[in-house]
Amino acid sequence: MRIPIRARRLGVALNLTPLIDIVFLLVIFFLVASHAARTESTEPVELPLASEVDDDQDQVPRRLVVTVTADQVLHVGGRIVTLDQVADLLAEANAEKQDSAYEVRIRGDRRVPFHAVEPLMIACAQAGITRIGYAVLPE
Amino acid sequence: MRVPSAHFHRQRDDSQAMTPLIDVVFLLLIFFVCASTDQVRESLLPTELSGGAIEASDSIPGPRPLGEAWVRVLSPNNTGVGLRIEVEGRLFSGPDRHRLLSTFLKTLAQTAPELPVILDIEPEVPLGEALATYDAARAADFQAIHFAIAAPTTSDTAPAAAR
Repeated sequence: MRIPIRARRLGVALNLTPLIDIVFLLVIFFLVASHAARTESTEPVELPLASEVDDDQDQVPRRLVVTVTADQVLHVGGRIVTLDQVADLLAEANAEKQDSAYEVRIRGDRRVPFHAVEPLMIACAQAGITRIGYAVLPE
Repeated sequence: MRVPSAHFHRQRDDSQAMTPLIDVVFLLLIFFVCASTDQVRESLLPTELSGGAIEASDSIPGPRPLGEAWVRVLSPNNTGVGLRIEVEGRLFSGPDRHRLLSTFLKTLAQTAPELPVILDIEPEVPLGEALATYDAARAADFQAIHFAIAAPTTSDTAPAAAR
């Protein structure tokens, strides 16, 4: 009996489907991770409303995000900090910033009294950091 | 004996190769659509401070100097009066105060845009109210907007942070 010989192609056949799966997953993972690192909005606050907002937020390569919750507690990077610690961070940032712009973003709850936020502005000015911004929701 | 040809198997494998990809892509698409609906994009209200020495060289005595527009944001008092905003002797209160303030500041800015605006915000005023006032001054397009802070040694206020 004559058995037909299977005609094989020479070389290795590459299945691209798992490769595409993994690449898709990695792209989406890095998109989400970079977005989370950029916003740092871990502590939930009720932001104030404003109309004269600046939506082009990606001009500053380095920034410090300080969150002031409704109970007047300061948070930086998910940790509870004191005003002195924030002042130290600002002094370090000012020493390292050189030519690059540095921004302090204040995410304050709209109900928090102004005297809880005012020292942050004073600390920024004293540390020589002139660019600050308030996180708001557009009206 | 019938030996199956390889052609049939290969054709079936090729047609099934796209199925896991489509599954994963659809799954991720649905996940991110659901996740994005729960997230509100924050905007930024920028402020440019004057660095270094932030206090005015002299404390400001009694009457306010001419050539400055002082905007005072007053916290509620014990008599039941709510938040008020005072600008050059005019008092804005009630739920419509922000719109009235904005109209007044825009009129003022059309006359003298170079007039420095100084925001004197009482300590107990909520941040939302303070930023709404600052936002109204920005919308009026004044060239310079300052925040008044309490001087460390005296009780007087002095212009500190600038737009």
